[in-house]
Amino acid sequence: MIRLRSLGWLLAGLPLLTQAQDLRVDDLHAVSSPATTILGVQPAEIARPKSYKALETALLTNFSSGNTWQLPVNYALEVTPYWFRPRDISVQQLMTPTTGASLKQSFSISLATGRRTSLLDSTRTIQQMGFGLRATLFPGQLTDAFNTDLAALTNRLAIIAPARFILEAGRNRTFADGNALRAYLDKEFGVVINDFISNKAFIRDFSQLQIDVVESVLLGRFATNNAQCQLLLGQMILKLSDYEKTFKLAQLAKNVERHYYFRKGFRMDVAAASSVEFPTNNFDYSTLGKYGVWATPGGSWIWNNVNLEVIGLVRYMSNQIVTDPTRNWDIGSRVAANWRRLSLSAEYIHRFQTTTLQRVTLPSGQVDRLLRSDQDYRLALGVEYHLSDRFVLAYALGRNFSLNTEFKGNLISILSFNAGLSGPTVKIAD
Amino acid sequence: MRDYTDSLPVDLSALPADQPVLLTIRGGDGDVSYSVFKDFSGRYTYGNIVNYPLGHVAALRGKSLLTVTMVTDTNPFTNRTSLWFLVNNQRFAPFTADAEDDNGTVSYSITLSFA
Repeated sequence: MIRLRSLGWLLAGLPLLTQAQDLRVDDLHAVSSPATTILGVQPAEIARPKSYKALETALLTNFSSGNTWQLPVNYALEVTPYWFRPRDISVQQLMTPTTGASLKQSFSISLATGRRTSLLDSTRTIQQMGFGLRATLFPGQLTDAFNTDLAALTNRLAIIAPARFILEAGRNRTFADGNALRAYLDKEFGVVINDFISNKAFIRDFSQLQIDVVESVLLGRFATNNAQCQLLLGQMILKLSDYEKTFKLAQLAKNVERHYYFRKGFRMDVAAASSVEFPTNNFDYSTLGKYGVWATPGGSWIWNNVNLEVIGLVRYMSNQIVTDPTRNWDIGSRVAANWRRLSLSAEYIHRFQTTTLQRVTLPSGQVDRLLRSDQDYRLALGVEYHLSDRFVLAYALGRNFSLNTEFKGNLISILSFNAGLSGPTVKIAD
Repeated sequence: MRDYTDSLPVDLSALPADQPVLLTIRGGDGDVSYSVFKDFSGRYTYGNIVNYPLGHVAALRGKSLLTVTMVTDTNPFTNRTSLWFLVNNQRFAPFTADAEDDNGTVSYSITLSFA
């Protein structure tokens, strides 16, 4: 029997498998969260509302059914509360935080819902809900490309902003006719050009902007009063707004934003999660499913255009879902090499498992437990190829944990093709 | 590109008449910003505005100053942009506007009115 399940901690590192220049920022945001990891589900998308209003809408849309509350199926949500209020933080402070600032800025709360087949009755499904927390303790270091990307964006803003100012300031003036308007615009654009006379690239682009925005609007039109002049200024402002596209500001901004995820050196995330189950699918009766806490220290290095990445895993996980409850200590690592559009990875996790076989109540009233210790492991190899920035082909093969899991079989083998609607996802079958 | 136009009253009455007025403008929320204004001597000022001397309190009272700041969203956690003004280190409540899309730009036109 083959079932799809997520490879939570591995997927948390997957985004870094790929060449940054080929990716959208969404791709760099892992398609996993502690809540989805604890449930072992791989949602197509994790909703990440970016304001209180968006959070309210997401909760009402998915959890409300008329006057009652309902549990949506296969829904995942993650929010970072720190950013629900405006913050007086520059891009440099965001990208190079102290450990304390990083904890605050990256702290997230996640929630996910899912269903699993009952171990006792395979025709019955059980509703699950997961809750998780995570934060980045050490975010790693920015690469040298950050300053280049930041300068590229700032240089474009530096061309649009003065033009915008000149046009806005013109709205506060009164022009007798088109000649007065042209004289004003020529003079002000001339002053700005003069201020940057030593920067030839600026002069070239600013002059081109003047031709594209000012001259194209004035061409063949002659205003005879102030109202007509103001109308022309309004048209120029509209044209200037299009310059956002001409200069591809959004792409330049994406290039800056991706540095939040694509970093070098040591980094470490910490996370915790728990899940509850509703065995009778009744909200009034729930049981604790799993809970765990884990850390993923790691780092990445660039060697001969190959991005090498090592991520460790230290995890404690208690599993009450299985027939005999287990407590697991998992220690492992994943190594990945990324070259252009190709990524190769290998992962090994060793498990130290303690299983509670029996609970016996002694005459004295004390509870005695019969415990058994086992060791298990998981080994997986993966290959991933980015056909384009949105299409990802991936294959994973390996052996999953086999002792006391809620899944049947331990084969990991799946070929997946991701159309990039929600970022790359490698789904693992066992 | 989203446009945001507003005004900011700046009360200078508590300051001595001969005190210099220093202006700082910065984009918040981890975004990239670039400001432009023309000071009272007619000189253009560009980029990051940090403690820019506008003149003395007495000379500024009753005047207004147009500022244009472009803020581009570079924060993966929020599409909200914010603009912060500080006058002599007094920080005003920020102006905020959501970018239309991820990595969008908001053009803030804020007129400071000194009283």
